[in-house]
Amino acid sequence: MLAALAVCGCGRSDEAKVRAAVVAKFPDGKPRCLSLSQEEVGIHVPTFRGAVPYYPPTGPTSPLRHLYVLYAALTKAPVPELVELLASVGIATRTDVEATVDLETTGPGPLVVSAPGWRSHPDWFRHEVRTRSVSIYRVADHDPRFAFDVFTDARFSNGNFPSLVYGGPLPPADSHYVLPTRVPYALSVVNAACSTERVDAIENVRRAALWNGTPVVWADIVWRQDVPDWMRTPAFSRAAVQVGTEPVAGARRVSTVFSIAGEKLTYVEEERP
Amino acid sequence: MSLGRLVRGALRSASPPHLVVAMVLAATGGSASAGDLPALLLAAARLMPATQEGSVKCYRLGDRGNGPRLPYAMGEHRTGVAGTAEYSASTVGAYLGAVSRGAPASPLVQALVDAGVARLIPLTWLQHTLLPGQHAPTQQDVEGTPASPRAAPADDRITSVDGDVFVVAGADQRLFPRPEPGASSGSPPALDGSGAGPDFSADAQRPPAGVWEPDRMCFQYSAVRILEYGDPEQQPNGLLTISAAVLFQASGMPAWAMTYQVAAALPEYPLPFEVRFLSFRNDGDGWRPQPFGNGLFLRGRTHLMPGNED
Repeated sequence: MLAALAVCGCGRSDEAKVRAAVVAKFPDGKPRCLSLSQEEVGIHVPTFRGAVPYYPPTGPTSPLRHLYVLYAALTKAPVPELVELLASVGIATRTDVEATVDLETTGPGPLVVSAPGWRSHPDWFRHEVRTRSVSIYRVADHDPRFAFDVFTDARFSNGNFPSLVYGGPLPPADSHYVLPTRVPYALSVVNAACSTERVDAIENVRRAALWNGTPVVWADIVWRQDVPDWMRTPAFSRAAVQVGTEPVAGARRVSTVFSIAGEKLTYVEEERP
Repeated sequence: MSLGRLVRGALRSASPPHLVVAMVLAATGGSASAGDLPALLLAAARLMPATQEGSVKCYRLGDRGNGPRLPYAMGEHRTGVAGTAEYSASTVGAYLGAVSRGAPASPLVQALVDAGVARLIPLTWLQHTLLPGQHAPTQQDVEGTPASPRAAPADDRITSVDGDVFVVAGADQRLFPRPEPGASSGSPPALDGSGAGPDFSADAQRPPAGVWEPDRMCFQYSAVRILEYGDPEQQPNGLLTISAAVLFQASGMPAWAMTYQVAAALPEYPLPFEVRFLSFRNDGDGWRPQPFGNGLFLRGRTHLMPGNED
């Protein structure tokens, strides 16, 4: 019996080792994220007849910014209930910026006979500059309560905030022109809401071997989720789209495997359901 | 007065380009002093050699960059210009194309002329046309058919056409470097020899040695500030790497480079500042820039430098 214990090495010390391995892996707790509906978060500024609006080159839309966005849309558009909720509890802050839309209309002009047999319809252009108010709901930089999609290339994001980095006189209104814009160098858009899980209990610690003989440690870890109040609202439940999972779980028990290196254990992964 | 007209007026009276740039730079705070690492990374970013994606950035002039060329000045082998005081064998500068006298130049060239960067030099092209039936006898002619009466070469037609070439000389010519070896590019008009009378032999016809036709416009950029950097990562081989978003600023970008005429003519618009993602490597003797950086580090926990707040 004693010999078996010595070979196995099981006991209270293993549980402490498992706890140390989990803490080493997740010093700030384990983030558990729930995807949010793309209709509730993200950038929803429309284009105007194909024209992309541009924004002031200072403030949140400066090209030298890393912008963290929860939601952006025209100010006059209805705000999703989750965004409204987060703004009311102070997690999101709203900034209204003025978007400038330069609508260019073009068409064939009247018939011009420049030489016998040569006829052309030269293009005409007309520019129409309008402004619209756009509300940007932002969250704190690196807000741990959210997960982000990071875009560094405006082509791949759903929308972006180009600013006109050009201060010279505008070209004639009856000519075709494209003015240079730059977007914020990085754009983080919220795609999920996260809460923190902490270890509640460690049970059923057992040693085993993989098929190739590598010794590992298995343990059942009970995770308790710190669910903030705003995640317990119906608005959040409607916005969270997680397939096959309860949006907010109080506690969950999961088998977890640890690798062994000498006396130390290292967190590997959870058992997949 | 409509709203659009109001806005347009406001935009027209907006501050000049360098003020806008200063506005953008000032809005994001002062210099990097949040810690030691950003200063080290900035010093490393300044080590970026010019050959890599570092300090020099070039913009292709594109098809519309160089002015329309004289049609007969292009392919004709035996066409040259009579040298003048402004366009001679000792001329040095970047050649931006030629037009017939009075024809409009391309928007870019016109903008450069308006800004006093490019100089318009009037020239006279001499075209040597061998009239049909009057060419020099070939070997077949000598051996075959009986000789027919031929005119002397002096009877060949020499026509002259007036036109203008655009040459950038002086301090601005460094912005228009010579094309890389092997890059396809036109050539400036050849001088038709020297001395009395036109000489149309191929050996005599050479463009001035100091004149080239550029295919790009280049500006010098230098690292000014670290905007954001990630955590050092240990690679499997034991080396440390780190990535950062670095603000680069153009030094000595002239005001004419930021006009809408230039914007219309260049495929890519030159801007006085840029944010680039650089990666650095530490072999134990300090941080060194690496050639290929990317923005993937932004997904992790990064350190934002002061200036990212309103």
